[in-house]
Amino acid sequence: MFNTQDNVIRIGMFLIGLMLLMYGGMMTFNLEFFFSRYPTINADQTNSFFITWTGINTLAFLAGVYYMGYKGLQQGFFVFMIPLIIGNIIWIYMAMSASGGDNYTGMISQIAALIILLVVRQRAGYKFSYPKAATAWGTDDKTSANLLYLGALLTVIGIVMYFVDPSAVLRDTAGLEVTAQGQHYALGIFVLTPIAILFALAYQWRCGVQGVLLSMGAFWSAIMIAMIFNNLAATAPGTEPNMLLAGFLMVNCIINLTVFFRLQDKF
Amino acid sequence: MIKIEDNVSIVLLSIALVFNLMYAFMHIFDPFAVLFLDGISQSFNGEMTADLDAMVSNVGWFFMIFAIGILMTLIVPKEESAVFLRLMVIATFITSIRMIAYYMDGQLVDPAPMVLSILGFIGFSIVLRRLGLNKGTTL
Amino acid sequence: MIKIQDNVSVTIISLLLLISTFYGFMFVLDPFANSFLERTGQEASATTIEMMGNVGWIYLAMGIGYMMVLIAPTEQSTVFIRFMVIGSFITLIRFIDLYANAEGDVIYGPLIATALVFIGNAYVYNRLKMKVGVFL
Repeated sequence: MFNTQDNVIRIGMFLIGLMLLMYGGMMTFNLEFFFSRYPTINADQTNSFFITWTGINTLAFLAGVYYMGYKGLQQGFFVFMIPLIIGNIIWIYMAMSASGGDNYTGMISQIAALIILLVVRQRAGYKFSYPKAATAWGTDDKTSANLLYLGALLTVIGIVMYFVDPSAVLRDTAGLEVTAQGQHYALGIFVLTPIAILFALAYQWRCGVQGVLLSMGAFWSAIMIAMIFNNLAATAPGTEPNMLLAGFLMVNCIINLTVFFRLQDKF
Repeated sequence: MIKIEDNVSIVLLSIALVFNLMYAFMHIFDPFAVLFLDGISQSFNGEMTADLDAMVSNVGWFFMIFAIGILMTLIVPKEESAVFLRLMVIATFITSIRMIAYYMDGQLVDPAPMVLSILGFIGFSIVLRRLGLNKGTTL
Repeated sequence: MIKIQDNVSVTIISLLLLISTFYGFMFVLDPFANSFLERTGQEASATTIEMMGNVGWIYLAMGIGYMMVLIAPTEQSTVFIRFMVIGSFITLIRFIDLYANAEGDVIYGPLIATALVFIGNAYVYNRLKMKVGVFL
């Protein structure tokens, strides 16, 4: 597995996969258990919405681990995951400070995941030098390259939109309410995760696209499209759904899937 | 007629076929379904409403389709069944996890479905391995 | 990464994957399941929601199955696609029967989706030349 004989890498990546599976499964499919473990988090619809979303993101990261299990480690995964986990640690610290929660499991597991990823990265021999590919994004396919530029632009726009009006999504989405905890979840979803995505995009822009990152994007997009349709269908009659958010996500999904299908024969 | 040459796999697949058929009939026919739900579910109040009937039948027909799939696996060259058997391993694994959770939670009052789903997972994993289909060209 | 050479089949399988995932989440996640039952004019009981969870997880497993079809050599998927053709055919017959006996306002979405899934699977089965097998 992971195209290596190094057992430290194998065990490390197995543990990362296990953590992602546990948290992804729990946050997506067993919210009752999640809320029972974190009593300071309000079990309301707003928090449920964002926790499920975070769970789906986590399952997409797990897809990356599976991918590398078959195809071997790829540096892009670490370029994405390490900033993401650092962001998560900051996010959890802020959340615990605000709510007074005393369940440190999430914080400890994130720190453990960060240490494991750093160790695995070191053992895999990745340096802090990033060789430039012959072309931007490492591909001659202009459509894919332009779509990736557009994806980067949309990611930046998403971050800016959050800072312009942090509660906009909460206010405009049917069933959600503007709460302090909801806004904190929105910070994680609309700022911290996109920052890690920007790291991944910048890396791919310089060094060429990576199969693991495109596969994670395609996996996430397939689930997200299903969730968007489900949310639109579940919106109560007479209530205006948040078409801006749905459209924004939909465009991102189309970009991810188009790039994946156009470049998949390269990896 | 049976193309698979490994007798252990044939036996395991045949057992799985029988159990899938049993569960299919148990879910599809109302009298069996009421008895089944009464025996295993904590939340079932004895009344088979229209929506519940439809969903239980859906589950039953899925078992029936899985039984047909297992039958097809027996009568085709093993290479053609690789994806189906992988699906069965994943599906029984997910079911095992869910049944264990339900049982621990008290929603499942009889452990039989949990034990059978775990045995199903082990059985399909053994078949996948014995037929050499775990060493695929996936990805 | 994708082993199937026929682009039409890849597109149809991707759409089938999407439909399976969509229905999977609709049945597995309680808010969507409740909303689905409300739209069909029925009141959800705890047992029904549990059963919907069972159905939803089968849909999600089938979604994973379609994903495996995309990334495995064509011949390895023969039984799975046959299984899906027969499964969607049986489901279609059941739905036609259910809709024929339904009273009042009905939503035809699930019926149409089931018909399209059957046609899609059968078309892929045909295009990938899986029906010319060594069956029996």
